[in-house]
Amino acid sequence: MSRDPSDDRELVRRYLAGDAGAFSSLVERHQARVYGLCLRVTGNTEDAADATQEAFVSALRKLGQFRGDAAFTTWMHRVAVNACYDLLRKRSRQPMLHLATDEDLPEPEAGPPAPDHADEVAGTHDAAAALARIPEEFRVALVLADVQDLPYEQIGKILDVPVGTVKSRVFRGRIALAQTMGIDREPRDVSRASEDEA
Amino acid sequence: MNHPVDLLVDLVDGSIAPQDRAVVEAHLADCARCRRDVEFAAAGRQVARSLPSPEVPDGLADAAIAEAEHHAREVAPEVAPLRGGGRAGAPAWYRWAGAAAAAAAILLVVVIALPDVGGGGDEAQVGSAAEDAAFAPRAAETVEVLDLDLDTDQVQALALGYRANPDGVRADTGAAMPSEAVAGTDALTPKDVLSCLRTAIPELETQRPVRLIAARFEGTPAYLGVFLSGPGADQAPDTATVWVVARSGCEILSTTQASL
Repeated sequence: MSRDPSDDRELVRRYLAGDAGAFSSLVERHQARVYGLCLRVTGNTEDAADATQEAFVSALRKLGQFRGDAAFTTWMHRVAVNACYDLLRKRSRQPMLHLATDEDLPEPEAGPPAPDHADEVAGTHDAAAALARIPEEFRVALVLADVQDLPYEQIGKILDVPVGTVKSRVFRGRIALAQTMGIDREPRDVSRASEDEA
Repeated sequence: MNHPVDLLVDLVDGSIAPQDRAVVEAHLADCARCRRDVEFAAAGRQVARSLPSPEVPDGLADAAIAEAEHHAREVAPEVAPLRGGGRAGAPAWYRWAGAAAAAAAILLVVVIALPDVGGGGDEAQVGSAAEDAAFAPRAAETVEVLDLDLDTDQVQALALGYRANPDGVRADTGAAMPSEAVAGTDALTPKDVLSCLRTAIPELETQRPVRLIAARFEGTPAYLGVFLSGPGADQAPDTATVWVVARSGCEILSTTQASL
């Protein structure tokens, strides 16, 4: 998604001048990326929707602080990451848990897949579930780099850490994801996905 | 041995500079751990990049848009006359400055008075789990040497065991992990085990483990470290992370995380 940064800055300026439609335009331009980020960081659609809503409310209330020296996308990503962290902490204080056990993994939302897509759906479910199980710090960096395809320098600005730290987290996240999926083990027959491995 | 993580990332990304390739290849020739890490990282990258873009539900930002429209109506009485050519009397530049000041004042009140749902007044303070000494949990003072061959389920149970006992006192994981000290083994110190964990995971440099274990993981002699983290100083930890590293070579074998 290629955006002219000056368009975002112009929309912010217009909103601050009283044009509510300008904020709606900002939402339209960025909500897909924000939701995608929140979904992969939180691991389920309900939390992703909550985090996305909070991110845009927070962005609205802080729009007056946006100085325009950073790209709006960088600023918006930072707001969204903070919203995800806040939600993950709120959820962690509730009795129901979302990490660490197979029973807590998100269920596939679609009905039974067509046979020729079964492997693909099962694989995607495994990857998304595995991503939700790796440590948050690595998960956020991995999502920004490999799912959102952002440059490491921009991720460093989003997370306010050096590029070297970003790369380290991405590296560890990739390793953790592969290990969590058991990629070093024998290839899994998805028709036997519920059985224990030997 | 130093491991050039930056260059390994570039290698996996396919963006390594020609002058760095020889350096990385020389290192990989001598470092089995990095060879394995690069394989895992390449696989993990491919998995992450293959995740599909989700369909965006409707109405995600309705609350924010409604609030924006409400604010705009508060500003509009000052702004609207300017669009229509303005009122008679005061010069246009004066009325525009007044409208801008009113808008800024409203926004300032909004920013100060409303709760900060973004998790921090300064968006630069993006933080992950808080670290080190402010937490109540006690740091591990010994290494538990267990004659056990653990699997991923037991490692998960170790993390989950802290739900009942988040103050960091060693959790009784009961049948999931019977604890039997093995007499006569080498005298491992927490420093030895922590050094290996931190070699594998440099981010642990500023974290203190609440439990250190020497055992086997799926047949491989391993160290386990349990780390509790949370939202910040003087707040209870909300996450337990267990890292499993190989005793020889200090490479990551497994990790799991549980919310407390």
